[in-house]
Amino acid sequence: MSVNGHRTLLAAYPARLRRKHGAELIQTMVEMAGPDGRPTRTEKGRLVLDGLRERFRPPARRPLALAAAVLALFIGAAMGAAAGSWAGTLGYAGLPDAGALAHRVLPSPDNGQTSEFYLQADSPFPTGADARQAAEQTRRKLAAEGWQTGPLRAGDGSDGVLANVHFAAENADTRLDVYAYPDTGGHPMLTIAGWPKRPASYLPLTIAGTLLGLVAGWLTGVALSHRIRAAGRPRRSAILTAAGLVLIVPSAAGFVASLLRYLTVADPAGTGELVHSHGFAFGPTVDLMRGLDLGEGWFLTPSDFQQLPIWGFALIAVGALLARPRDERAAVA
Amino acid sequence: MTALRTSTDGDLAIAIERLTIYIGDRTVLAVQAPTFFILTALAAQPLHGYGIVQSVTRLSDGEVNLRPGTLYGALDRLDQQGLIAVDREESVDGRLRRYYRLSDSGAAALAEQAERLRRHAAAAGKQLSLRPGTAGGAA
Repeated sequence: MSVNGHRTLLAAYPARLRRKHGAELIQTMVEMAGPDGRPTRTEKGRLVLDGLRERFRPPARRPLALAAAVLALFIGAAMGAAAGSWAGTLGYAGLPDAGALAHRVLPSPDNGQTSEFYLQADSPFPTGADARQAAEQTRRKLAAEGWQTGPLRAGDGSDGVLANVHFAAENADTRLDVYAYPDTGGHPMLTIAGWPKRPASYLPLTIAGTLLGLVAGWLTGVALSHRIRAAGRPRRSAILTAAGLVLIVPSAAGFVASLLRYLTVADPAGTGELVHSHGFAFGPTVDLMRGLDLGEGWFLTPSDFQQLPIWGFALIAVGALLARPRDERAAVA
Repeated sequence: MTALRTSTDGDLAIAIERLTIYIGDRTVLAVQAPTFFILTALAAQPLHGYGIVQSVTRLSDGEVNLRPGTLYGALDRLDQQGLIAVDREESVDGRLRRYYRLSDSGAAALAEQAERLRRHAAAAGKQLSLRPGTAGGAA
């Protein structure tokens, strides 16, 4: 078979090696097979595996390039986790109609709203009535509808939430938090907040996305490091790439921390800790910022953290475009 | 680093698993044994890819058999480090022949590494000669 007949095997190799050594690689493999021989399937397979291995190899003795590749690994993992997590939310079950639910379980409901991932309803109850008793009545009605209800708990207001009596209820698809407040600005109030429970497919999809993101992040970081190293003016691209990484890392870290909260917090603070309540998300949630006592945007809001990576990726893309490889023939003696 | 390992037939064999190429006190490149033999193959004369493969097999007594992917990945890294360079290109029967040569810094690094290995081997030989029961060793 001619040299050209083996060129598809080179697809396994990074572009820099294909450009510099592609023809030689095939030529040498054919020569090693002997004058009348043809490379065996095993030899071709090894050629492909060696190429794939080269894609994972960062530039030698370039600590900054290695650091950039490690950051890309982390960002890739976070992006993959976000993609997997978002795909997992597509399996969320639909929420019950909040208005209808409120009419069945609350004493005199004012309103009820259901959005894609959140439901909310509230109802006053008579001034002077016992909040515990009001909460207990709602709990019984929910239990009669088949909801699994938790015990009544009291909050004294010391945690930043108004004094209340509350409990949780859930069915196969939905989790509810019910709060009875004896005094909300002069009148008592019963509220229901609800959100979807995680489907069984959520965690596997998130883990799969994380693993794919790890690989993609490392490969991208390594390829970018090689491209910048070989560029005619590497400093300019390195600065742009570093600035881009700096812009992306806070959102990546914020998303990962929010995801960990979503997966581990047993008693979510009234919002379900959902990480994709407004569509695809790549940044910290309001719950995380509240949990870390960062307010909801003393410096940056969750929405700002969603925007930062866009600018960061744009800077990296510009840096990569500007890192045009030197003429390789001129680079060798 | 030189490591002791047990070969498949149970005998102890000394194998150069990983080497570090120095120029003076500066580490230039941590390399696998195949890369060391590539530098060694290019020490005497410029060679093209297949010539390097054949030379390495001969120099290592058949212990190191380079694959094309291993060879050109190593050549790329050695080129990045300035230890080798392209010497010339020829067209033979319509085929590209690119010859590589050891650069001056590559020759210096290889000479230094060879001297290190020689010293280490001499130290090992000297210690073995002191082993009880060995000719010249302690009784």
